[in-house]
Amino acid sequence: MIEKIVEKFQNQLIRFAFYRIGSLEVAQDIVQDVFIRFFEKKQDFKTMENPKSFLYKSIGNQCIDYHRKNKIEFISIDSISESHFINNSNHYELKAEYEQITHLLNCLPEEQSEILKLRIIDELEFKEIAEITGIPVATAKSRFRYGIDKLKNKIQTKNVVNNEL
Amino acid sequence: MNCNEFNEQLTEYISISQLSTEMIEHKQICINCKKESEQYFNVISSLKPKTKIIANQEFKESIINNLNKTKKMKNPFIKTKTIVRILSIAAIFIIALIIIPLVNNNQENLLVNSAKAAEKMFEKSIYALRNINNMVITLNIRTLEGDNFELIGSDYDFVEHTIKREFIGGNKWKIEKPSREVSFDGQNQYLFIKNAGYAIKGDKNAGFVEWLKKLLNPAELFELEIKNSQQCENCSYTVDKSSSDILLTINSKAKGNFDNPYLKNSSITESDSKILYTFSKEYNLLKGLKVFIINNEKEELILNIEDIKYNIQLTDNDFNINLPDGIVWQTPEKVINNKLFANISSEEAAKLFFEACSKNDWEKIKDVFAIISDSDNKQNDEIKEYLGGLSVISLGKSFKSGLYPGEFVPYEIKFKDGKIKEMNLALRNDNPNKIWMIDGGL
Repeated sequence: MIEKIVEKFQNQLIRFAFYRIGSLEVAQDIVQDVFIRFFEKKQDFKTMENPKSFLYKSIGNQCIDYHRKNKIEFISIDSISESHFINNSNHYELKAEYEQITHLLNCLPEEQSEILKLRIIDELEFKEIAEITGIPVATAKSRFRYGIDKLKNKIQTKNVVNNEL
Repeated sequence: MNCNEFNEQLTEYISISQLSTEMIEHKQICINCKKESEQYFNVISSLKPKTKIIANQEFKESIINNLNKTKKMKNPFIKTKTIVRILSIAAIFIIALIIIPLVNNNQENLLVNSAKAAEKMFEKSIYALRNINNMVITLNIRTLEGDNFELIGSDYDFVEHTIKREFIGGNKWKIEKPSREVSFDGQNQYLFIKNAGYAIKGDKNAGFVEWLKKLLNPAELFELEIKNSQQCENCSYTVDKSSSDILLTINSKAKGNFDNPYLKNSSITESDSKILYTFSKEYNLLKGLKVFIINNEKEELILNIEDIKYNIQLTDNDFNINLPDGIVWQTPEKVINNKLFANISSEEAAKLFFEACSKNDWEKIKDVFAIISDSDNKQNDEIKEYLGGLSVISLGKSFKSGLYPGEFVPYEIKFKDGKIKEMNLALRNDNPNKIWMIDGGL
């Protein structure tokens, strides 16, 4: 049972945490931590209606905690990422992609950026997104649409500027 | 499906290859929705990670070990959270994540027979194309110099074509072969048929090229290949990484209705074929393409790309078509409404067409036979001279073949110089007023 749940969700949860933290090692640490706490409460997870939603919510909260803690300790995400990604070209590619995507999402309000991440990066259905974020499905859809429209303009403007240059 | 429904449903998709048939059909006929979906998937593609993260076996084992240890070490004086934290931090050192970046993976097999492997290769190449501003493809196709850009045939010689494509700015492109040039300036398509001295300006959706247009958008072509790989039952895929390049081979059966086999082997999709894509290992970009038609178990090379240049210096002039003196761009009537050619069968339309030719009544057919225009240039006169005064010996029963949207009417005619010609007249009425247009076969 435990093995099956870990196998089923591990990749998507690490990716989910990674795109909130920016460090692969910290992301897997958080996912492990959440899995262990999840299984420690055996009675809970066996009767739980939607373990996937619970896992996403818990990891999301852990990521927020991590940011809060690191903000106080003045540790930048970049420095953590660099130290863990050293000597691994694949890690560098992953990091480059993370920075590219994060840079685009940074121009959106947090609530829209979050929905775009959940839908596009985590490939969750709107119903699942609504459960995890605690908002109605229609709101999730409209935030998604607004976010997409803003990025369309940004990408178009970027192309025009590039052409002019 | 209307535009509102299309836009509402679009947000349900995060991959263009998953679009419903209804949406694909709507996109093909609605310019606005096509543009909207292109921009939408452009954003999705910009945000979609291409590098996959896959935890290996040790990740799971580490969690189970930690759970076991936590159970054994449970002590009222030590907080569980602290133990878990220490153990999970320690676990970092024994956990390895396999990252499959779709770029390099030394552990992959060198030869893989699977649609999934092909799909991955296409995905990698789509990703690589994001950094491409333009390309120039030199290709050879077995076709007739003077015919349209669609015709292929294993009996024909190779004719060299050049494709130029700009991915930024106006998305300009140009395809040329010795007797024809077609281009798109971001607003309109232009076709110059050199041997007929005929230059026509169409809107952005003018169908001057059809299947060859796929090569203008490698990313869209690869998206289509991915979609095919998920649906095609009569296709097989091989990805070979054993040489200095990556070779991806697709074997597939002809598409279309071949109750009448007239169009079998007349285009790539309407043939049993083998397609061999060559990708560079370093950049994952398309380096070459060979298309073989398989006829009676014999492979015949039909199309061959051996040279593709990316991100080179191109100017607006590279996409222009310079017309010789005396030839001007003709703009056909946008809405054809020749009622004589509506609400009749293709056989009746063929009969009307040949009757008009026999009586030199060009006015009657000028808008359904685009090459006969108002202009009085020399080449049009030659066509009128060629067809004028003919007499019909026989007309056969119409038939459909392959993927052609229209119909063919077999005919036998006698020209005024006494020569006899037997062929199939191609007619199509897939326009808003369902008017039969003479499309070829002369």
